Amino acid sequence: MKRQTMVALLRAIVIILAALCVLLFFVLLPMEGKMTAEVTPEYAWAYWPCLIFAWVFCVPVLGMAAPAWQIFGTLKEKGRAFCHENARRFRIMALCAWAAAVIFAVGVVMLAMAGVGSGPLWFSLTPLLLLGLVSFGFACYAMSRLVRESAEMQEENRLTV
Amino acid sequence: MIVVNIDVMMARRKMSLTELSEKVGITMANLSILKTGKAKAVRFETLEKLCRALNCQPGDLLEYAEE
Repeated sequence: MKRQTMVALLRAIVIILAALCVLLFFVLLPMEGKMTAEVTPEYAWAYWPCLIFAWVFCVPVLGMAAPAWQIFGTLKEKGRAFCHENARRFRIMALCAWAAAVIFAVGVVMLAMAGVGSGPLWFSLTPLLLLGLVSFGFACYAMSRLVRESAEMQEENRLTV
Repeated sequence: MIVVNIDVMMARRKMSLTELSEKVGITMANLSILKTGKAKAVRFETLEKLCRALNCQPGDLLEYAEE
């Protein structure tokens, strides 16, 4: 696969994932929430708290798109990916993933305490999503260290005469 | 810190940067890195070539100075 094609594909994936996120959090969830509120009016009060929780959770999730986009952009040229900027971008992605995990955990606990939510959501989706986000965060953090060390090695090599 | 006195030796030998670059086989960019003190390491091979071209000892090119 050509370098340019690979970058284009990776960036397309970022756009698609970000668009799906926007669609889910700003279109589907409010629609689903309104339907739930109409069907079960006793939970209508939870519409806005749940929606705000979803939107707050969405911020770090979408926040990962920009650094990912920039990292993929550096893959266009050979050897450009190992730079300190990319190490910083991976660190931002790690922090975003961990922030999303914390927001999700706190939100789930708060909603559970308020008596909103369902068993399958708490016991199946929550651990999976939390594990996924924390693991992704650690993977990004490891990549950040790797890229930083590679950038330092590359710099040292460049300055060896 | 290690100071590279390549410009001093070049002046003593009345040799230009281009001439040294051609004699040693190092690019002007790399010689500039050496001259400006940005180099992080010098290969023995390069040092040997520089000593041969400038007819000097490694100690004439490198000097330790307190920071």
